[in-house]
Amino acid sequence: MADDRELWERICSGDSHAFEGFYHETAPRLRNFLRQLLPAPHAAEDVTQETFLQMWRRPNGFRPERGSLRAYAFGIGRKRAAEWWRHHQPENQPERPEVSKDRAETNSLVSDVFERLSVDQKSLLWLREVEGLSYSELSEVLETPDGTVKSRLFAAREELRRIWHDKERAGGKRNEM
Amino acid sequence: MKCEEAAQLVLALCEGEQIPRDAARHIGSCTECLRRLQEYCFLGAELRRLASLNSTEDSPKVSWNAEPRRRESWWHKGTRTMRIPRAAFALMLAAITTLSAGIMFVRAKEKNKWLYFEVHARSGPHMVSGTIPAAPDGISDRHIGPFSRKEGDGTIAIEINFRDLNAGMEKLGIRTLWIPGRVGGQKANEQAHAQPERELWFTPGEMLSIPVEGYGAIEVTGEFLEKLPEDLRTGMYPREESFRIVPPVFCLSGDRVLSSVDDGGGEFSRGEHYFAYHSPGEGWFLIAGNPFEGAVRGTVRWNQIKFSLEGRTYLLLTGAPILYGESFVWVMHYPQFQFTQEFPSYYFAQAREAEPDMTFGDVKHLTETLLQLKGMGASSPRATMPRVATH
Repeated sequence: MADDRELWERICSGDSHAFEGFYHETAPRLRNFLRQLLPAPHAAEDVTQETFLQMWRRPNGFRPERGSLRAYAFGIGRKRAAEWWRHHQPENQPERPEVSKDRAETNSLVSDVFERLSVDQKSLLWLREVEGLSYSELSEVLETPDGTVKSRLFAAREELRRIWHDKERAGGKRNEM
Repeated sequence: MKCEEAAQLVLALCEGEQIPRDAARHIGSCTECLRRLQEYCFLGAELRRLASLNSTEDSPKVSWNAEPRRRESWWHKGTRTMRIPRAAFALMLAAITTLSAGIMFVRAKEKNKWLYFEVHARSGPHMVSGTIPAAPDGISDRHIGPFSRKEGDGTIAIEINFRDLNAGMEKLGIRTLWIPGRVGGQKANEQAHAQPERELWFTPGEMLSIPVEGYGAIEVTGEFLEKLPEDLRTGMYPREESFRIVPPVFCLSGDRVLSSVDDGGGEFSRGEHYFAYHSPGEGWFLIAGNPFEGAVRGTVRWNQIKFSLEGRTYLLLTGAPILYGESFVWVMHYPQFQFTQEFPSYYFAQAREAEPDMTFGDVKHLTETLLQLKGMGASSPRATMPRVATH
């Protein structure tokens, strides 16, 4: 936390070298997260860039005592992704997110299952399991109380598990046929 | 314990938390609960594996130096050692603030005091956003732009005047222009400013779509806020109901710097405290956020307090914003005050006449203080005893 505070102070004072280091370390992870929330890789890339531009141009609002700078960036990214959806009419979007060739090749069973969760559940599980954010950080990022984070995390895990079971059963039935 | 009751505790166990002994005993001996635990762990590990497969791409190279910085950087600069004189810095800060602030702010008294707005280009990208007073107040200029955005096939420019607030709707005066092909931003702005103004009503909470010929539509969104957003209040600005005086403080009249104070300062309540500045040869200026008898009205805007007394205009410039935006202040001048040993208990009396100084006080005691000052410079202090207004 102390390091984040120092890094934040450097960013606020316009230290582009410090920000560049933070960007290179965090941007791939954020882009990866946003790809789970947005329908196309280019949209995730755009939102990633917008997130870092916002942090660089208007470095406001980060509270080191409430979580890490990385969590703060993910919080902005998540809001930006929600804005992206607000400005893109749902009827113009594909029913299922478009999957790039690269991603299709590396998809596992769990990625297919994961895609079927709601955006909020995907955000929550990804931030907890992949990014390892604490409950208080999740609470900041998702703007919900700690207790709600826990109950939503439980519901998201259960939903992921249920879809996985359904998928497995369907696969089993196909195999039997 | 039943499996349904233990399910949440399985999650807690998976998260590495401590769980009650009886729950642990149940989970350890229950096939269903153990399976749930293993599946949680498996699915989590699979997600991390999935993430690791996708996270190998490099980020595009971005030149962060080229990006414009927010205004907070001035604050940081103001606290560092500078090669230019502090006076020049304060004047520069004031000049830039005055020239660049297209939006002027003031405290509004309605419940929804602020309007947060965003303007988006046709495909959704953010063009500009800001927070302004929700209603006109007579001194603030609620005007944005013109500003422009270059797109692949041309440039879109827009200018917005937030003209009025009526029945929860903002009356906007809007000028827009789409210029296909290549054109400079400044030229686009000038041409947009020359366009006829369209009058539109915007309801905060809803999206206003503004069609622009040849371009598509610009979208305006926004919402009323009761309080100034936290990110605007932190750092550079004081709390919403406060003034903040950060040295150096300069006292100017016309084009002449009368005096300056390099130390002291602080944050004080607009309603409960007053700020007093002493300029040698001029006497004391008492400044409060609420009217009091005998005081003249002035304005405070960003880092400037401006007022006119006895045919002269005075300007107090501070090293950082006094408040976020703009408001009125009330000023009382005591030119006759002379240093004296007769009232050593009063701060004012202790100030040296030849040295500039400043202080703060509680308006509860302002009446008493003013009476004391009147006693030093006026023949009949009780006849003009000030009364602090209560709002």
